[in-house]
Amino acid sequence: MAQTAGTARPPFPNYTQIPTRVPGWVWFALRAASIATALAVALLLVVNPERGRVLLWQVLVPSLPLVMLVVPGLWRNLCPMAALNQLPRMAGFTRGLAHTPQIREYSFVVGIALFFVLVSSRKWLFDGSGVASAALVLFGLGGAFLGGLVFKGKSGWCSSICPLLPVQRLYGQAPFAVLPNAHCKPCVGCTKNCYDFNPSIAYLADQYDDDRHYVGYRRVFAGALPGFIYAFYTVSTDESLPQIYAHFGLWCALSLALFQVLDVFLKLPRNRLTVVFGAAAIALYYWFVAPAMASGVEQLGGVSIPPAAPWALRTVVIGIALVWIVRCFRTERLFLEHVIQKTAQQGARVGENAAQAMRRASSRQQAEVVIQPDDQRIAASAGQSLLEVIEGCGGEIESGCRMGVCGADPIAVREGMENLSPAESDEKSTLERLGYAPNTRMACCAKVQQGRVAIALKPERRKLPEYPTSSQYDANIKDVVIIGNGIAGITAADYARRRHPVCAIHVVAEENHPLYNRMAITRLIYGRSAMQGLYLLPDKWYEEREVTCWLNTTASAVDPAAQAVTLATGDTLRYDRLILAMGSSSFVPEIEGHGGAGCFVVRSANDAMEIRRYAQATQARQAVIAGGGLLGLEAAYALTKLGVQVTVLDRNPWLLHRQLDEPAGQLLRRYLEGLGIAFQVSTEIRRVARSDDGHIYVRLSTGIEVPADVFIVAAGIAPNIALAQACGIATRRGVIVDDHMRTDVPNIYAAGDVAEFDGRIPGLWPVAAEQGEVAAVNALSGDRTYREPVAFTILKVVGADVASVGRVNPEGDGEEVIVHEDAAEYQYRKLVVDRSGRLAGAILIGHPTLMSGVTGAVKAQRDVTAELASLKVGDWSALQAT
Amino acid sequence: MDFTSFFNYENPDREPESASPVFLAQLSESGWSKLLGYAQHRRFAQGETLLEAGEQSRDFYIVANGRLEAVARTEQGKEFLLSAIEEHSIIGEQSFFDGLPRSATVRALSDGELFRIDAKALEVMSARDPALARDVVADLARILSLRLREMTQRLLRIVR
Ligand SMILES: Cc1cc2nc3c(=O)[nH]c(=O)nc-3n(C[C@H](O)[C@H](O)[C@H](O)COP(=O)(O)OP(=O)(O)OC[C@H]3O[C@@H](n4cnc5c(N)ncnc54)[C@H](O)[C@@H]3O)c2cc1C
Ligand code: SF4
Ligand code: FES
Repeated sequence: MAQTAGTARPPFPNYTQIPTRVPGWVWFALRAASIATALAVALLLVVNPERGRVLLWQVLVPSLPLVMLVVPGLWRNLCPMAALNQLPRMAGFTRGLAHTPQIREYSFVVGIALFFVLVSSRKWLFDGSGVASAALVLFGLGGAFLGGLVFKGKSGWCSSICPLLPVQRLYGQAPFAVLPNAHCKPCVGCTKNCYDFNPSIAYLADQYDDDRHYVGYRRVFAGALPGFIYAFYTVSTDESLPQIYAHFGLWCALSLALFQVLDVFLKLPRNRLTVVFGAAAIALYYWFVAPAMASGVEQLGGVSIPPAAPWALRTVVIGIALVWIVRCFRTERLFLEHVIQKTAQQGARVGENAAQAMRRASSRQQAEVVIQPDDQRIAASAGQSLLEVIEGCGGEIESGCRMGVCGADPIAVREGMENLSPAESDEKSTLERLGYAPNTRMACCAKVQQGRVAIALKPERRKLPEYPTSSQYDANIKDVVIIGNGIAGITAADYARRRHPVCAIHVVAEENHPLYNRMAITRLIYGRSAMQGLYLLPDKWYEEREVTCWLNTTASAVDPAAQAVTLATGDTLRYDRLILAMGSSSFVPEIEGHGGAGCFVVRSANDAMEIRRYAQATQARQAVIAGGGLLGLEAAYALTKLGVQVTVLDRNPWLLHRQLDEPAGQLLRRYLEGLGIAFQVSTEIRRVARSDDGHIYVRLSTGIEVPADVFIVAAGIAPNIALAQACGIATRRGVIVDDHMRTDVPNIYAAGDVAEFDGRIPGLWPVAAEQGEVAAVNALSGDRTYREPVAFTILKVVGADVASVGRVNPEGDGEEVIVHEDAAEYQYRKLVVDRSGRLAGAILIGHPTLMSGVTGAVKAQRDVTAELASLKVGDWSALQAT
Repeated sequence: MDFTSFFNYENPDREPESASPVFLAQLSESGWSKLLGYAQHRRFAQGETLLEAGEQSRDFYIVANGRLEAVARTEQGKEFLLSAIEEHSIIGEQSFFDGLPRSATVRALSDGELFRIDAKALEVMSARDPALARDVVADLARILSLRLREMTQRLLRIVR
């Protein structure tokens, strides 16, 4: 809500905001009368000093402090000195000068000094002399008038050197009744923190000023005042002049010292002590002056005042002073609350354009995701995945494939499951593998559609821990051995157990980690979360499924005749069925000079951690990555995040040659360059050289030489086939399998990156998972034919938003290609439609909302003949996820 | 402290309000829409704590609507109000720059909405839309620099 200006009265109104009850001409008349009265008093003081002195010193002056405390505005408006001071301004003959810095600094001090000197001089001078008193009155009137002639506003007297000003400022700070300034029309800004301008805040503003001297003058006055008053009524007029002033000086000093000590030790809010001292001074004053006042009224009025009257006055004043203290304290609290927030560093603001844009954005986002237990409420637009939503608000979540196959990002849906896109097959099998409670979803796949969804970032355990296994199984199978603990091996173990509740299942794992998210290992290079974040299975996964996992153990030989696997530990595992899931290693082509310190590949978690360690230990500044494929680019981004300047080399003319066409590759390149990655394309590495001090230089076919503290080869994969070759299993690049994942040796199957089916080794996670499942089903006497999943890849570099699915280039004539590019907006989308009108492939850059719909449609090879016309003109709503 | 807003002699009717700097005042509405495209959109409820003092997170927020307050705690554990945050304010830009723990706790005084821009969003913005990212950073820097000037001014008054 905007501030409700005008409706509510501000807590500290200035004089234009305070209602005026007395018309201007009344003030005018009253002021004329007040000047006349002052002159008359002066006259009386001369002609009848006796009565004059009583009138001035026993009646008029003693009344003033109370007026200044209760209705300070009354005196400000009525004071004859002020009236004369303002005469030149009204009549238009003031010079209207501003104060010089010196005057500004010391005028208030002069006022204080005048007050102390003049009042203390009453003792020997004014109290006893009508003429002197008359002169004093005239001095005040004349001084005020002269000041008004020279200086602007009230700065010639009333707001500068007037001896009554310190008293008025101190006591006027919490008026019981506020009368607005009737003088200044308009304000000319003559004085700092003007009382006449803003009565209720002026004194506090003084007290909280940054300038300690400015504050100090005012505090000294308040601190000395009680002592001064006491001195006034205890000094003996018989003393000599120096003694009289010494008496005043002593008491003022005592009073000030007390003030200082209390100030230091009580640690009160700044204005409290001044208020307390002010109240003490005024109570003290009326305590002493009350009898004199009573007698003054008696003398002048010729009436007799009851003897209790002074006591009554004392009591009343003490009462008022106490109430005043409370009012002052309250005002200060209000001031602190209200003013500190106004004056403390104000946040920067945004302008109207931003407001408009925000309104527009708000109206677009209909859905809402609530993240428990903090109940963070995120506004989401339809089609956003929970993963995007969580990442966007900085929530703690892991991710890998971003397409439901790796299992990195399970979350619990607490409310609103019906408002999410339903789980599809990839996600379903991942969920089955993980085995959490039924309310679990993979955040990357669950897209918010509408309404409210409440989630928790930790998935819940399943109530029934037993594992659903089939009751019919092949009892002849007693031992299943799986070599490899990657996704192919683990999926195989999972399905083996589902199909066979009692057989022994052994998984031999060379690495020292349970199944982890290989796709996310580049995060180990730069991220804060270490290995822990990459583990993909719940704690007791192996245990619950009675799968024996041999971590850190290499299978060194297979004996197909004996149906046994020998481990490097010397153990032997007998098998009825063997599944080879050894995955692959990084392919490193022959490069002259390659090898040694600083040369790396990125295949395993340990590789990634070693790169991080090495880069930090050697304070690597530059890196070269050979290969502009998915892995190369992800590694490049990771090293950039470590602060390393990265150059990516590729022999092809554009990046992600297998997944993108040229314009898309170029667009991506510009984006990555924006992130600080450099590229050399259409080039080959000639050799790797080392300088004398061991620095690596990569010499390119273009003649360029790139220095590298770290050199990473990301040039594809080499399946781990040595073990299979050694025991006579047929291999080419990989272990050759049929559509049941059988090798040519009975009872031996292969799956994942190690397997070559139909001459192809896609080297993709979903393929490995699917093959692992098919291998296990068939190994355990089932019958499942493998169908290769449609290739789908995402570049896991922040903000790159690149997805490629299926076949991205047309083959032969008659295929339809639809391309829409908006390079300035970082958007590119392409569809390949085959001759029969079915979707064969797509590229999406910068179209997050199209992602799930388009990839789903391509995977399903949807017939788009009917929508072709609208797709061509850029309307892809038919493909948007529902 | 500066109380000039309560003594606005030239224009007594103006609301006392300090002239706070405007972030990206020149940016067009479509420019803003683009910028918000990189941001996270969050809703908050009255009483919710949005930022906790001492927390470390590299992000800043633009309040779309609703009111918030920033409070700090003294060493003795006394809480005091630092500032009231109205809609259309920017908060948190200091930690966004220096990455140090938040100096204040921010709580919602009403329901509302805000947009969050974190280091990652800025990273993506600078790769996709370098000019915009440059403007964002430069203008935040300008605002921080204004603050610094204010502090210097204040220091001058204090040490006088
Ligand atoms: C950085 C990176 C990013 C990737 N990104 C993607 C992506 O975005 N999308 C995608 O689809 N794919 C991606 N991949 C590929 C994907 O990770 C692999 O296709 C997948 O991991 C293959 O699984 P697998 O189980 O067949 O083999 P692996 O995961 O390689 O597992 C094989 C395991 O067997 C072990 N092993 C090997 N020999 C033996 C032995 N003799 N004895 C015991 N154990 C042995 C190995 O140590 C290894 O642990 C990426 C890969 C990397 C490295
Ligand atoms: S500052 Fe303005 S209101 Fe105050 S005395 Fe001067 S002219 Fe009058
Ligand atoms: S399953 Fe969601 S990131 Fe892999």
